[in-house]
Amino acid sequence: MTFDQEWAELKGEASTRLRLASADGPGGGDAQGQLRQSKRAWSQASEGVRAVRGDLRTAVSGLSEGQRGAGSGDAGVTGLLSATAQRSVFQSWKRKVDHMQRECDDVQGKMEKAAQSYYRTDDAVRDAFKSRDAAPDDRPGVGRPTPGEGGQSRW
Amino acid sequence: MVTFDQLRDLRPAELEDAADGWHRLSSAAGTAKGRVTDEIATRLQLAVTGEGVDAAVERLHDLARSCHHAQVETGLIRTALNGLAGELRSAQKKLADAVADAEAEQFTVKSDGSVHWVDKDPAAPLAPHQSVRGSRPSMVIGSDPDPKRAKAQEYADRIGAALREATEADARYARALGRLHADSDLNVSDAEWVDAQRDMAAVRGAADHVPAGDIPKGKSPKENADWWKGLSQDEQADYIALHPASVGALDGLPATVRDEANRAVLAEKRADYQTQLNAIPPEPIKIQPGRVGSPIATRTAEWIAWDKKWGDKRSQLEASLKGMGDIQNRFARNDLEPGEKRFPRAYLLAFSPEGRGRAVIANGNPDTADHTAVYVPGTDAGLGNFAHDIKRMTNLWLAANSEADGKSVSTITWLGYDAPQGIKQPASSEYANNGAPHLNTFVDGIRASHATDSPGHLTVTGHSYGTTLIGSAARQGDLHADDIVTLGSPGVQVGRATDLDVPKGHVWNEEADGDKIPGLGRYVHGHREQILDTAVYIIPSDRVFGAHQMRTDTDGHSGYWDTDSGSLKNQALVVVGKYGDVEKGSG
Repeated sequence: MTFDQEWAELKGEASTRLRLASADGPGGGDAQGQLRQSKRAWSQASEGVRAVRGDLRTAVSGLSEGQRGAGSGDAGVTGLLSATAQRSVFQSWKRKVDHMQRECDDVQGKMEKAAQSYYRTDDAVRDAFKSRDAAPDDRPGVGRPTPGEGGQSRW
Repeated sequence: MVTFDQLRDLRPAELEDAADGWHRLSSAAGTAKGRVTDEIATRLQLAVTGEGVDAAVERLHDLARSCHHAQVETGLIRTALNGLAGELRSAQKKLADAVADAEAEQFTVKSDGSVHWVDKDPAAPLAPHQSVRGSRPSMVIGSDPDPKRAKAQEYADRIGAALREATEADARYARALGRLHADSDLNVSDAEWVDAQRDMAAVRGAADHVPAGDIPKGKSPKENADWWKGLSQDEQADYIALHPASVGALDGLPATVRDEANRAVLAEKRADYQTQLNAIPPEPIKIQPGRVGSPIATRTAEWIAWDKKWGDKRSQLEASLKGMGDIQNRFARNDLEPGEKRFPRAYLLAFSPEGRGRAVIANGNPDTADHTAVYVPGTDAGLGNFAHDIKRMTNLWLAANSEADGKSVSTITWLGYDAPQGIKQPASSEYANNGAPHLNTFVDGIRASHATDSPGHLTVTGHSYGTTLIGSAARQGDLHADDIVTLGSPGVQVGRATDLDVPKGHVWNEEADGDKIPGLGRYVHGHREQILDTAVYIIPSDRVFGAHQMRTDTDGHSGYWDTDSGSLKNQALVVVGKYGDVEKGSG
């Protein structure tokens, strides 16, 4: 779909929804149509987030692939302080991006639930998204020093 | 210490492979950032309303910020590794050359870097094996009659120098890389962006393969564009990572490049300014009541001292932060209402918060647009006041796009000069005259970076004092526009449309009912002419000026962009080149 086609479609959807909303007033009328529209939007958003997650996963595997030589026991750069530093930085970002992927999963799952009308009220949707269920990987030694401390070298 | 064996066996290409991996992550994070805000969040906001969707969109924006931060930081890691690989390769080559030269003269180089030879001097029959090492030149200088030994020392020293060079680079990059760890929190705090700014400085200090000194200064946009095209992709990415402010400001570079660079500057400056603002001590009580004998309320000494030290700084920070928030809101489309028409993604073509601030923001990519409009705002424009100048160009984009018959449109708010403020400053031509050359280079830049397969029709439009700047740009230099639209103009320094550098018949003017500025301003910015004994001041609203007068149906000085108005539609028609459809007004 080109931008224009996609946009024309969106515009159509949005104006239908608005017409419904204004003609029927709150709580009345063709709630069915409105529901369908909202389901579709949530479901598209969910697919979009799933795709983003996939892109991040691909990028991390590309990143890991690039590490095959650099400092993972290979003679090519072994023993360099900088290679050791790079390796450690790599571990920290791998965890970070893993966490970002879990965040995508969390958001995407909730969007899918919203699409399936799992949540009964708007408040329930809000509460679901307000709660972050993707926990960071907080094992000791992960990540950089606390922001603001200037990030001293760890070696 | 990097050893002889290490440096000899080192494979810098492995560091470059790692750098490629980081590059992939950095680009993927950049792409993800765009998709999450520009596609997913926008579409959702447009289709569903309620607190539930707001909470979801907030999560998406947090995710996008994480992606942006990851894009910037991992870009620095890539740059550091590329720099490191280059320096190690150069040290390695010096080592290899020294060894080769030594071996060519029958010396043997051992794996501790020492240089050996067999002494054939019969005077030393018992100890024919000799050796020297680098870093100990005192052994030989001037005192050693043995030419063989002197030669060996020379090679040993070359080897020692290469090893020292590698050791120094290794330690320097290890320090810079050590700063670039990810933390475990998903939310990107101000402190992290402030750190990112320092990280950039640290990598800049370590890496010299993309020096700031090589970035063109004071060159034409065409030359800037040529410089950029002459760089490798790695070098381009490294320039964006290390010198985003300089790259982002460079007229002639592709919009996507400037946007990426300026967004990094914006995120870092915003965090930096917010941190500075937070550090300002609270404002003390300003007014003390009068007392017996001195009944008039006065300012407190504490407040006066505070104001002297912090007043201006706080105003500047607050105004800048407000503008940065406005730009972020445009990126996130926070001002988008459900059912409202969508406008395309924004490109930040210039950004600097210093002083009154500079910001150039495009709706739609000007490099690929068939029709582009550059808007020069007038009096009181600035970062503290940026939201409405952004809004004017989203309105013009919507109007032009609906007339564009499928052609693509880009509209640009150009806050590329210090606009006059308040009542007195607009009476000076200085602001226009100082800003005008920048408009000319910006327009030339848009021309230089424009895709060659599309004609790229370009309109420059100005409001109020902004039209004076446009006139000054044409008067001082060459303004390479196809059409000029002036709105509520107090005068453009020149007296005829034909002096505005565009082909005859391509200057368009609007003066709305109740707009007092053209009438008042003409005596300041109008073109002074003598008719018999009387001085007259010509402005674009005058018939003799020779602009097409367009019909307006809005009121006053600030309504030219009102949604669905004829005033806006006529501008839009010029922007898309439908000159025949423009409604004529009374001149």
